[in-house]
Amino acid sequence: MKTFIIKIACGLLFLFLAGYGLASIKKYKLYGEYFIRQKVSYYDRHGEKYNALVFGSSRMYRQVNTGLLDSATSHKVKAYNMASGGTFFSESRYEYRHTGIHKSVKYIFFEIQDVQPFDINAYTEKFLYCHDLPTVTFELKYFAHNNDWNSSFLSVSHWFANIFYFKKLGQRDKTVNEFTDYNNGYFPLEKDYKNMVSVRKARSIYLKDTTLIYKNRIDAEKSPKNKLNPALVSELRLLAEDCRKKGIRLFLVLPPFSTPADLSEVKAIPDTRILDFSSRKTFPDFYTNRNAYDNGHLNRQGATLFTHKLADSLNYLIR
Amino acid sequence: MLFNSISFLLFLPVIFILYWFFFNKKYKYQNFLLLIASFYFYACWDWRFLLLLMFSIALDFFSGIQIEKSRTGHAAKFWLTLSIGINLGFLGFFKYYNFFAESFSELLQGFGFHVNVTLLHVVLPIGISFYTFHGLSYIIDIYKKRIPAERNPVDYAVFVSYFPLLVAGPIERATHLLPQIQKERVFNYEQAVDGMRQILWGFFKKIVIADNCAPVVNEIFTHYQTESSSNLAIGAVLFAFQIYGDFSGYSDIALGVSRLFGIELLKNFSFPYFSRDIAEFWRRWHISLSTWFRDYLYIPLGGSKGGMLMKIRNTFIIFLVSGFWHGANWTFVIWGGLNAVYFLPLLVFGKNRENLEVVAMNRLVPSFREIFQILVTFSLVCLAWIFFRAENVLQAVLYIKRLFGKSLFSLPDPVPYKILAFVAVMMIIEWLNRRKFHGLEIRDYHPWLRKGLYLIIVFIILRYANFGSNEFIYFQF
Repeated sequence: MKTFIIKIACGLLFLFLAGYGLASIKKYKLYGEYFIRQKVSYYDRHGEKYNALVFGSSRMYRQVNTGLLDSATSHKVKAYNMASGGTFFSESRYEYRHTGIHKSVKYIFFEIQDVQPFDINAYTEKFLYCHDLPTVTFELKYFAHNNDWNSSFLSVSHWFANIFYFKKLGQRDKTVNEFTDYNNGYFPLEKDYKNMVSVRKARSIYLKDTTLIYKNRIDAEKSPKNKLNPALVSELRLLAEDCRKKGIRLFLVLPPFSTPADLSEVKAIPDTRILDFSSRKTFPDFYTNRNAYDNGHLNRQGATLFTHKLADSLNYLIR
Repeated sequence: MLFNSISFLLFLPVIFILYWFFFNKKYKYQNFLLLIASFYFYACWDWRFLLLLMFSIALDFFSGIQIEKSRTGHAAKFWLTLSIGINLGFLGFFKYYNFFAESFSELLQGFGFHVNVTLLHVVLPIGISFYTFHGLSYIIDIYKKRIPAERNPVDYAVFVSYFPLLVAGPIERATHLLPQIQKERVFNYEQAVDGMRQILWGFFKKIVIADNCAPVVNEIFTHYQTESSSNLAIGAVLFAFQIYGDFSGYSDIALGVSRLFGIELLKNFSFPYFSRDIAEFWRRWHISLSTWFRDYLYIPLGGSKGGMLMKIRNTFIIFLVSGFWHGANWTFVIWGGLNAVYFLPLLVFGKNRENLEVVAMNRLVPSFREIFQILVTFSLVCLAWIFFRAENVLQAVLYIKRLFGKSLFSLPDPVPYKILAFVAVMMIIEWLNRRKFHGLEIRDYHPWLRKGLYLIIVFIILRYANFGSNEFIYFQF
């Protein structure tokens, strides 16, 4: 019995080490998430013309019109939108680590968001790629604070799965969409959906009801704002430190539809500015039928409005 | 819970450790653990149907005792009929009700009557065909006085619900499995190592062969009306390997997992695609089902004791029922019937028991005659598989019609080189081990060759397997 278990353990250890070794020499780390990899690859080739980068989820990708930001800031901010739909902080942070940031970059806009590994992701390539040791270490701290052992387990299993996921070794760059170089990485939500399904169908999928949007926001803002997870704060601190070393000004953004949070600890991070657009009371225009696409995103018109407001803040901050 | 899921990869080592380290004082404790594990395994799919499984177990357990206790043949027959009736009633209700209702409605429509039949919108309980047959064989064996009734409910429940075989077989016999459940099990290193080899080989067949064939096969069968004949041919051939990889892969995993617990299950596949005629194919394909039908249907019907006409009748009955067992669709019935037609000449000319030995028994390479026989048998099997895979009879007929078009002998477009290479790897390894219990029984190989082979197979699985899918096809049966 002992020999049997030792042999099995040795076999697994060998595979683990082989997987770890092969993954570390792999050129493209961002396997599985073609979209992010395409953006990173595009930025590698054309990065010198941008002086700002936007990282985050669909709330940045679909809501920060980088082309408009350029003109609205009188060309002071020439940004490329690196954000991608369906991502969480872990992925955005991983993407940042694997982006060869050009010396021309002066500003980085980074979304403050939470981390939620889903069970379903354990069966897909999505979310797997970013689970290297630094990401898992961060997530374990994050989930430990929330006493979320299920997510901790998922995080570690993603890490294991990532190591044993030899399929990544064979992945090549593959064009899956044409949006990476469109309008500096920004793409409005409805335009995307117009290509995939009819607008009518898309709208039926995403319930769009002003009353409900208002209700959700009011509910979210009724309770006292939660403090940010300390692991997230310390990760943001590290990010700020890295940006400071590179001579980049970091803007931490809470875009419209984010959950309002107590940002007092983030405010204490030196050389960092917070751009908080999450409040319905302060920014009621975002939460209207005219400007919202669904219960979590702005539409093209809303994105234009938000980008103008972002530009106004920037014009003031970088004057 | 699927064998090719992360949950099973966690479930198996946990049960293994509990079984050999914490419940190893008495085999009864181990049986209790196996029962809990099996119920959990089943409940992961849908806990509500666990109640149905429990009911089926309780019914057969109780009926078995009553049959044994019966002093008159009449009473024993009553309990036998009751048990068989209820078991087949459940099977018929969940699996065949809609089929019969629809067929009846269509038949009446043919005569000009329009009847609105009520169809059931229930999911087929997973593995119902398998555990029902476990129970039936047990009851019939007691009635025939081949075995005594089991008095320990836990042991009997483990026999029916043992998780490696619960949802897709092999279909076990009480005479084979129950004695193993009722005795002390000692960890056997050789058995466990070979079990691991069999699991590895099962995973290779399932997630490299079957799951990589599946998307190509689905594409071709969906667009069969626009595909070229050569593409349709490759679609049929790949489906043959898909279903083989899927089902024999599942069986290999089941047998291998069971060997880790010191329990040997019935062999279910014996390299069927190396068969030289259809009779040999059916001795090597889904062996536990074929022998079940032989023992509990063919022989009671008279078997081959009567004249030629009776033999032919019984053979047709077996194949048609076997087809119907696979699914409630006329395609399965025709698939069974077609196999019976293939079998007929062998039966009439007394050639059905000609090829009993493994092909090229003492040689590495088969003769030209054997190659020809294997290719002809494989082609016939592939042709029949088209009915098995098609959504309906019309699709199968049109598929076959288009298959024999002008472009049959042209190159398929695109040629699925990678998948064909995997299939070739599988067939070569299986050919080399065709005299063994399973395809990767390589204990007599040189240790370095063995380790090298493990590495290559593990690497192919991790690198090329299709992880994003796919239930085992035989779950639906």
